[in-house]
Amino acid sequence: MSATTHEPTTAPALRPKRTHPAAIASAVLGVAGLTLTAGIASPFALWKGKQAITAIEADPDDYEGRGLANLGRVLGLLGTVLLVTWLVLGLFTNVLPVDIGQVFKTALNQALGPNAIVFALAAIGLNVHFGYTGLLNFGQAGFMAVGAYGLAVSVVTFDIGFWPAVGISLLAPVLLAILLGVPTLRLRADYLAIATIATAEILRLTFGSVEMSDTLGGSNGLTGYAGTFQELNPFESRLDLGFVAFSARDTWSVLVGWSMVAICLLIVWALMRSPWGRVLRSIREDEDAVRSLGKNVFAYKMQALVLGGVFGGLAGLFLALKQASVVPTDYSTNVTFFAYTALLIGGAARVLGPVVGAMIFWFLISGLGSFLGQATSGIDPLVPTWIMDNTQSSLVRFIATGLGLMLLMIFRPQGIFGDRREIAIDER
Amino acid sequence: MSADTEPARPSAAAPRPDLSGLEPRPGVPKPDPIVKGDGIRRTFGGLAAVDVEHIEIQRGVITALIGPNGAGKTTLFNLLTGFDMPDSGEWSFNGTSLQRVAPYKVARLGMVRTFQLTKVLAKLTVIENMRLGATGQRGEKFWSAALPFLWRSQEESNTRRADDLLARFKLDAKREDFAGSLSGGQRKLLEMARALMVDPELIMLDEPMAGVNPALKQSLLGHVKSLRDEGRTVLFVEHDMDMVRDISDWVIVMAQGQIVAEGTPSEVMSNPAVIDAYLGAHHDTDLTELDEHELESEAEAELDHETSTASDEHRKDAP
Repeated sequence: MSATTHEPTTAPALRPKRTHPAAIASAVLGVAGLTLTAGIASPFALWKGKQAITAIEADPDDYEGRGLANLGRVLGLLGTVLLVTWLVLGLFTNVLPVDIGQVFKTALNQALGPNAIVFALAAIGLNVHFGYTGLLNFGQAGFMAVGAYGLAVSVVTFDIGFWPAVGISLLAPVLLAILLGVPTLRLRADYLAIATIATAEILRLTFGSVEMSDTLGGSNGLTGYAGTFQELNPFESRLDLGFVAFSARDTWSVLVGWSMVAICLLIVWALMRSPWGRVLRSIREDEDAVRSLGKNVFAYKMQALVLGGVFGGLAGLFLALKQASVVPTDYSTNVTFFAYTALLIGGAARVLGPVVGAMIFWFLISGLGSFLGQATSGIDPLVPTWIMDNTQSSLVRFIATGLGLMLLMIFRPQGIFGDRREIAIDER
Repeated sequence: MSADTEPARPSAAAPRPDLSGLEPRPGVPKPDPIVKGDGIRRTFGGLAAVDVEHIEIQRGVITALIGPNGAGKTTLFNLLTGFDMPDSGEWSFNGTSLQRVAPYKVARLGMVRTFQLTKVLAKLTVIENMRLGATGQRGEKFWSAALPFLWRSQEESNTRRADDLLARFKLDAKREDFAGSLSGGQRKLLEMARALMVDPELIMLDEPMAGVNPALKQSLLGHVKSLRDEGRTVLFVEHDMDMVRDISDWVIVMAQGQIVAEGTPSEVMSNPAVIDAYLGAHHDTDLTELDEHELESEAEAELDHETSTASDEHRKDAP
């Protein structure tokens, strides 16, 4: 991880002193470390504080904020001590009512398990849309929904076989993409965002509507279509590798799921290194320039929308298969935003970005959930109830994850795999 | 996507048409026009940004399009290349009507433009910018994109062509840099080089000299001339009078959306209507040659007048 580089300052005498941004970041991180994040933010507070002090000393005419930076460092130091203490106590003794080993196991299980696969697939689709082509699709949940319902409705309501239904499930997102793209892809980018988020909501409400519950299952959803998938399961017993453990059913889902992810990654990799991928990236930068060079921008955007939509549909199909039921609430808008989070964590416009991002996202969410859950349960919980009780802890993990995303944007705006040089161009 | 049509390669240097005998009036017919337009009109609200009765662009020469700010030059560019829709009018390129033809099709026909505010693809390298310009790429089709053996050889020949152009425009040292890291003048060069990758018959440059430093200007002028010498037609918008005088064979003057004058550079520069509307009274004289005292007294008189009227108004405003 590289430290923030300093832009050469111009005409220092004319500029008023300003608080160095790293000093503010350090203080915020220090406070966060001692409260919400149980010390996890604290080492970063120490680091940013040191960076701020160095920068202020190098440029005392330009920057102030030494006090803030020092506050951040002190809080960061306290938080780091706290972090190390509870990690050591949790891992090696039974003093704490929290089993850190169990927390890590739960977190890893989720990071490698079916949930991460769903979001990895959805985020691969968004990577094609947003990362490579610059299409702001806020309705990935809609593509997932038509993928899932394409399978379930075909089998349950219309009673066609499992395999033709899988075909329909792959075709449905293509149709949705064309339907969405024809009117909106000629318009400015923000219209696509509005149209897609609205479409995803319309689809979710339609799938859950009372009026159509005979066909679509209503709010209870549909079940009983995944038999063929489960019968193909070659695993008979539970898989336990020590650091992760899956039930026989999950093992099968995970095997199929990661294979699907691998195939999708291969497709994205092969396409994005080709001249076709170059046109997409160029459209992201400036579509008029691409037009002026004789490329049919609309057709390329449509192809990208369809391709990413199919990946989204695959995410829905996999979700439907692994849990053997489709419920409209599984396709709400926050699914889209979680997928975006995963994409940004990993780094947009990088082949592996969305997958690593989805794994980290689920590692954090479930690890924090498990830790806070244990820390707030029992007769004498580690965290006193006046700070948070057991029901609140399941929400605090989202707050902490949001904070983590903020940290990421401060320290590595390009994501894990991103190229810092590209971000530098935006700042020019 | 439909099959890309390779634009016809311009035939190398036929003798340059002589336009000096043409009558210098707006809309005069040319011996061999590549672009012909009639009644092109575009209004924004009540303002007629472009209202051109008749325009012809001669093939194989450099035509300059000049005029004061807001004269409608860039709008006319946008209309001709399909980036904007006119209220009415028709125009053709090489005899093909371009009404309601999408910009990308216009470019494929061999009529390629650059932009006033350069549009380089910032997060692509210079060489990738260049490769994008090549037309008829097999690798740009979805189904063959994933199979490199179908497009690798074509990509290699495109890259060789791109490298030649980069060397010609002296950008070869920047080959692997992000286009976003180039200076303003280098961006202009890259945009021009990229447009040449399309191998256009008519290249339309929108203010190629804006923001380019004087040293680079001279070589840019050379590049524009060399385009004509390889048989291409050039149409450019420019404010830099030295450039217009230096390299253009024919000049079209626009003001308030209309063509007000046409002619060879010397004819246009001596046309009183153009001088009054656009160039100003001292356009043709070096400042040092003018009588400094005369200028000074003129300026002082003007200042005095302004201050006195200003104080008059001030007095009026006072209670």
